[in-house]
Amino acid sequence: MKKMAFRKKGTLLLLASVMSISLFGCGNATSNSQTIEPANTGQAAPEETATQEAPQETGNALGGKLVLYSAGPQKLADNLISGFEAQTGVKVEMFQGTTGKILARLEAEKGNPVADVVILASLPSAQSLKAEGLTMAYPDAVNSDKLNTEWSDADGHYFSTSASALGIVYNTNLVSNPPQSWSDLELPEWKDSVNIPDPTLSGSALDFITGYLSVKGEGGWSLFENYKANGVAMAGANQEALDPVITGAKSIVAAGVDYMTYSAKVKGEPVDIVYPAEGTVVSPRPAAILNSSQNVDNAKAFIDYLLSDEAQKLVAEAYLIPGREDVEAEGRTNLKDIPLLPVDWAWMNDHGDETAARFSEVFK
Amino acid sequence: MEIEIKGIHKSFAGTPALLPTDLKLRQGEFTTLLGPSGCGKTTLLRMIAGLEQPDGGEIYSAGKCIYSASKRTDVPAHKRQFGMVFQDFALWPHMTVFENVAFGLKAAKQHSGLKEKVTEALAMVRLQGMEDRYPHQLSGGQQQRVAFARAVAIRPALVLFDEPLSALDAVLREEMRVEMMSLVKDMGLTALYVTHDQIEAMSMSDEIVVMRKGEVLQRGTPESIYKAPSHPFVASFIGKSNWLEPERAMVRPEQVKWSRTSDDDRSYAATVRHVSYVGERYEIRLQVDGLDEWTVYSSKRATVQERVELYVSPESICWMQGADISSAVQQQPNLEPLALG
Amino acid sequence: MKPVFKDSPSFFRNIGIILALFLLVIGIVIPLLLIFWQSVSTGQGLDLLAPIRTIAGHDLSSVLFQTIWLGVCVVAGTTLLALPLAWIMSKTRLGQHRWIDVVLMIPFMTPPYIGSMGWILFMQKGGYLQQWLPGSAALSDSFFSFGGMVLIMCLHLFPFLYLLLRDAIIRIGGNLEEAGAVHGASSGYRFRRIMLPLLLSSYGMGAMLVFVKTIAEFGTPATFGRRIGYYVMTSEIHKYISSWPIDFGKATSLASILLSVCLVMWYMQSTISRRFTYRLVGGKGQRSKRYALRGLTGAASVVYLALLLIFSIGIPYFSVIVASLMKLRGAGLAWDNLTLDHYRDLLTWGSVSMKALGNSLGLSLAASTIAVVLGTGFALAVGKSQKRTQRVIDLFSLLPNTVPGIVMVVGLILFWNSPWLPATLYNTYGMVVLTYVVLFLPYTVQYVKANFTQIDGSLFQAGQVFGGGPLLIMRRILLPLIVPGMLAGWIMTFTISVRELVGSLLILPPSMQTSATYIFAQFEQGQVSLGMAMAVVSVGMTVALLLVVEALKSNRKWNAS
Repeated sequence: MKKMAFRKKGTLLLLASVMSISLFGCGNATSNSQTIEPANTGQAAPEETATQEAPQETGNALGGKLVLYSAGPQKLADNLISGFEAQTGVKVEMFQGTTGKILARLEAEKGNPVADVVILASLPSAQSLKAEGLTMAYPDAVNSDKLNTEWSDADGHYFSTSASALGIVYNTNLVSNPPQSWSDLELPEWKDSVNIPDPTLSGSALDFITGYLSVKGEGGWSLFENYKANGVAMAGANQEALDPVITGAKSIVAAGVDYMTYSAKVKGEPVDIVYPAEGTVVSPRPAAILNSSQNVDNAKAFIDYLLSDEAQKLVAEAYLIPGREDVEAEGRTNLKDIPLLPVDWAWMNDHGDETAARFSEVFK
Repeated sequence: MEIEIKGIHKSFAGTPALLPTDLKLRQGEFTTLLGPSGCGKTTLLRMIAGLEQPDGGEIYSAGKCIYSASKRTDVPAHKRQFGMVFQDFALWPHMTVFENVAFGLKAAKQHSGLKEKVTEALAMVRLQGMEDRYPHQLSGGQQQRVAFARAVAIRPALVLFDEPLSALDAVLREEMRVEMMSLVKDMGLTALYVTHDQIEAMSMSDEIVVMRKGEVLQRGTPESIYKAPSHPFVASFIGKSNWLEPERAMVRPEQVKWSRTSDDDRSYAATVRHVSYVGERYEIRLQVDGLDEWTVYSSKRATVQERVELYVSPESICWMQGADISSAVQQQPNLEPLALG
Repeated sequence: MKPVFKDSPSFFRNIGIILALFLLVIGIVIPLLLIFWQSVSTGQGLDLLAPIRTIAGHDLSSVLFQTIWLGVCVVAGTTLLALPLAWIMSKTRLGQHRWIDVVLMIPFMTPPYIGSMGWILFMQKGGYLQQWLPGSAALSDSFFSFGGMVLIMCLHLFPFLYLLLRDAIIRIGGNLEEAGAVHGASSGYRFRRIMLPLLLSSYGMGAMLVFVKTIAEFGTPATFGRRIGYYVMTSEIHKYISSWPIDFGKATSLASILLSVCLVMWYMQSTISRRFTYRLVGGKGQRSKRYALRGLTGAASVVYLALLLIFSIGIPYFSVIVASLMKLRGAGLAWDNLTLDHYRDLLTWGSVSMKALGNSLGLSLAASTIAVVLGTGFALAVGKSQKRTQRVIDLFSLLPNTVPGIVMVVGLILFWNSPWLPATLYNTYGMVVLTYVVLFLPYTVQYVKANFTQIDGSLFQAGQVFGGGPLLIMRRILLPLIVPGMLAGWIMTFTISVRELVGSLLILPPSMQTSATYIFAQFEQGQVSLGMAMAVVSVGMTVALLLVVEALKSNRKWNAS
């Protein structure tokens, strides 16, 4: 048994496999033991060395590097990084990708984790990272009390520093009378002219689908089945779904991300968004420190930075909903004006994978 | 079958390869186009075969027009019913000996008696029992025989030979030359043979056509070409020539005598330069006073630097006709070394 | 004289063979074996049928069949495109224009997903074609189909087959066909009985390569294929490796099936090639006549070439360039909607894009140089492959060419990210270089081998007779003679690594981008114009480099040989 476990490590451990539960546990144990030291100091730090750390931060004693995996708009990530680098002198290495790609990369690198902080575009993903014990608590993050409590972890494992809302995005040249309800897209008027992002690639699309289902129950599937019947096409991640609408090849994105629409609209592209009256889903974008981080101090400083006034302003300038409730949105509909579905985040977290798989089956 | 060529000419990218040429190949005769490389002989052959399109002129085969620029007639190669032996044999490597020889018959849909015809052709070239071999399993001489058998299996109106012996070594070349000539004669084929080798031309042909720079200089039997060359280039290209008057008068080595036989003989004083023994005689190179080097034959060894007296009778002197002297002078230094003996 | 020096530099070979085998086993064989291993090993032991069950159990068998069907159709399509072109370029005066060959390599230099995007932008509803000809909507519908996908892939891959066929036709020479003509065979009969059998082995090789490249292709399925709902193995493998929920088990199962398909194809091809390879007898006077471009044939040739260039380069590049110049993507084709801003952003010194471009150049230079050094070594070790070890090296070093890139990359990740390795390249620049080297090694090996086998052994003997030591012989005789092969390998490796996407997406360390991943990221980010501008710049750079090398090459005297 031992020999086999060793062989397993050899070939499988790092890269695989959600299928084998025992292996999964084994992998976690190893990564825990590898990272137990930084985790301890990290957790111990707030109580014991709080006084020590404060002067360190003000004295700009941070250095070295920080590895960030970030989903979402690259411009914003670049701005956040340069702001953080200017403030702390920490060199940030970033992998930019969709939520799906980031989670996949974390999985692939389980044996040799390199990331310190992740920013995802989907709350359930962060919840499951926490459930797997991959995240590190940072309850003392500055300004974390100003965050929307529903979207951030009470124990400080993840912080939703921004959010986007999903809506019906349409080409203003092609659509003069935009649909006002999700079920309008089942109408023959929109046959073959609607895109929907692929929930295995787009965290926000997955949030919408699971959120919708968490409210409507099993019966909610009929909406998506009708979509498929009406020729709705599943088209890559958010931007790949949006681009054909901008160029006029398609008319509408169902469950399109609003901030992308706003920034395209500001550029002058012929697009706009409708939030259906029956309510939609807001997709928070949580940031979390990974348990395996080897640059814990830098990671904490980065979280603090994300929650700072400066970073929240950058978020607002990117047409996202700022995570802090005391910061106003810019150039877009404010959160309080968006009709919301009463979604069940716990249910969404538990049913993400199967929903994504079933959705793919429906749309293949 | 008679082939008649009238005013055929061709140039490549503005450079003339063949000036307007007339030629008649008589039924059952063996005609050779002889000349240095680039003289247009291969171009002429390929135009007759239909592999190259002339710029103008006419070609008739057995009285039927197969090419005419003015009548816009151009019978494609595969309908001219000729046979051809290629320089590199061009045997099809993916076919057996049998399939190679049978190709022409099959292409012409002559399926009746196919096997007999092929076997007969192979028997003629003594390749019985080799039917199932592939070309790469044969020696050079055997490949040559297959190429020949393939060319004659269809009983062509004309067999074209494009320097067929040049790929063989010297011994094999001589053997194949004799064999091929007797086969052509035995079968009574009309043949057009292209070569730059004067020995081949002299030994095989009924008629030789000497060409240079796309132009026919002289045509005639081998004997008349050798004995009475009408052009200094022909004289130099075929056999060895000793010039009495540059570009004008010449004598063959075997006609030069070591002693006076008649009062009319001209006499020349010379110095021996080289002596080579070639078996049946000595070949002696001499510097003739006031003239170029000569070659003469002798049954006795001479000594280098020895002063000798040579005699030439006036009847043995060949006089050139209307020689284009300037071009002949240019041409001479460019001559390829000839394979003599 | 020591006997080891007898016929060629076998002295180097004996040392080289061991080293070559070692490197190839580490670099190529073990990673591929790991894939099989991973896909057949379950928790309890080995299960040889596991990959097949995965396929059957997850409804992936249709994906497998779709993949193979796509491969077959693309092979058929490239044949239709490449065969007439090969004939035109080897038999008519058009073939004397060297620039045509450089231009014909452009489809191949274009990242496949860029080509597909170009076609999509051109043909889609409201696309450039419809903005010109509003009546062409019906055309657009029929284009977004399996047939359109085959067409796009054929237009991308045909240069491969074309080059192989053209060289084969030139090698066969004109005499064999002329002999057929004189002996009474019409052109159709000649083609059927003479050219076809002689071309078969080269064609088999080319068709196999096209097939493998088709089923290994990721760019077109990821863009066009997804759009029309045509799923193939690579897009599925990529999905399982790089998007949530990740499933390496399924990915390796699919990869091992794909690998098996390719090995079967390779085996069939080598059997066919062995059976239908003929030694062309006699090397003398094999001139190939070129037809002047007159008459119907000439006109048809020119028209054919022009159409091919329009479809394979003109249309996709029109779309790509127009997209890279658009101010507003929603505003369509209009003069006042064009801008050079994207190029300015792209080429700003110190920008992310410039870094990506620099990374691409640096990585490709490193990879192509290493690949040339190693590939030359392997090719010399293989020599004329008399011994079994040499044939094994030959097989191993050509393996990456018969295996889909994504499979090779998965194998490399499995191997280099293993925890038991004392030191690993994973997540470093080195890993990227290693991946490129492994992926593109076969090109150098093939080119140098072809070059080396043409060199007569007597040249080395002459060197030894005149007292040259092995090093001197290598430096003064061997190297100068194989430089053309090395150069060709280098150019090929460089050209393809600059545009490599699949491996780069999976193995690039964080915060590092190459021009290919940059383009991909811009598409993800909605900066399509910026991505297209990058595509134009990087392809332009590659073409410029090729032209420079071509110019240098023609100044060298060894080129005469």
